Amino acid sequence: MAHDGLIAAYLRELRYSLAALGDADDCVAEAEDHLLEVAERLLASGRTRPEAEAEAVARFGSAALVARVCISESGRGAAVPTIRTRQAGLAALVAPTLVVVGQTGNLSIERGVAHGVFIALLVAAFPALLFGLWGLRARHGGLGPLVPAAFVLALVSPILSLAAGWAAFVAFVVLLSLAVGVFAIEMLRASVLPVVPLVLFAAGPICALGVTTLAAGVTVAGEDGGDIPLVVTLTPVGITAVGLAWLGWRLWREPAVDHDASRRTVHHNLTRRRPTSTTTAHL
Amino acid sequence: MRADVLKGHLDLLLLTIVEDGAKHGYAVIEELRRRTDGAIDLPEGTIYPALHRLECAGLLTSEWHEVNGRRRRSYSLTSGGRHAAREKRREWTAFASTVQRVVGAPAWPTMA
Repeated sequence: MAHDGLIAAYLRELRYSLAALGDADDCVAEAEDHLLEVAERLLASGRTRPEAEAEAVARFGSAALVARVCISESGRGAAVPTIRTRQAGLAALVAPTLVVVGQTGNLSIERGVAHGVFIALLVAAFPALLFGLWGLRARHGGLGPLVPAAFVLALVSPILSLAAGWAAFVAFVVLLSLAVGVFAIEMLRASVLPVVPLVLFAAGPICALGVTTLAAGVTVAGEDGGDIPLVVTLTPVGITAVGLAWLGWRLWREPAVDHDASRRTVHHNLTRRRPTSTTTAHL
Repeated sequence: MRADVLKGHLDLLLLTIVEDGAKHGYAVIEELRRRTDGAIDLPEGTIYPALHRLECAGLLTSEWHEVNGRRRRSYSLTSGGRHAAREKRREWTAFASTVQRVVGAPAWPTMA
């Protein structure tokens, strides 16, 4: 750490501001190297130490600004296809299939191991959907401040579905629809992925909200909300599923920019673990 | 140049600068300033988070070493980063030439 002075005080403030980050020590070490290098150059050009340190700190930006940018950037991707976004695309592609297969089995088989397997497929669709949404966000390099909130909505929505009753189901549908809707609108605004699957992805939640409102109206009117034809209920799910699978397919098809880097890392790790092995030399 | 004008293009600038060889953060910033004749003059501390993000995305790799008794981190391009830089450069060139065709075109003759 620098000797006491403006830079040292600045670094203390920066460390405090970055406490939430896992790599705060590295960030501060980098800032220290930068500030001292700038100060040294300014000293060499004839400034006094207090002047040099003050200018170095001023050029670096306030600790609050740097911390804010560090924290916001740490949650963003680089808006490029990577191995991880491709995997997320595969998850997004698989999620609707899991729902269709799981729900079909769930309705056709009432009990037993097979029924449990179909329920497991239904449950597995949700983490697949979340991973898919994460990948879509990463592929866009962030997608704005509303999307993390939408992701949290999507995350908590199944908790509501655990509660029994029509109201819990309505809350689940509304939250998940809002989350998917926000994702879809932000992706449409970003214009990175094709418009047609994005419109389908956006149309599903809007239809779902419409159907839910209709069903709620029917229930309030004293009739059973379940009286609404199944095809009306399933249409929004189907539209969203097609949109999501299409987007997943699109992500999965993109060549990952870190493909070669990943192969090199694997090779590097193998050679580090087994330095005397003759086989690793040929990997 | 305002930071919001740069939004969306910083990654390309950083990848291009590191493409020439490994550089530490200060050298990246100095090179950015030199190549733009000082037109891009962001708060220097805001470049580091972008470098970290590019590293997390697998486009850059970094190494620590000691210089003058201080820990210094140098960034270099991965092959994925090289590919991404090429892609982003191609997109930028297409975009810039499209805009140029509009803003650089002779004005439509007006009625006297």
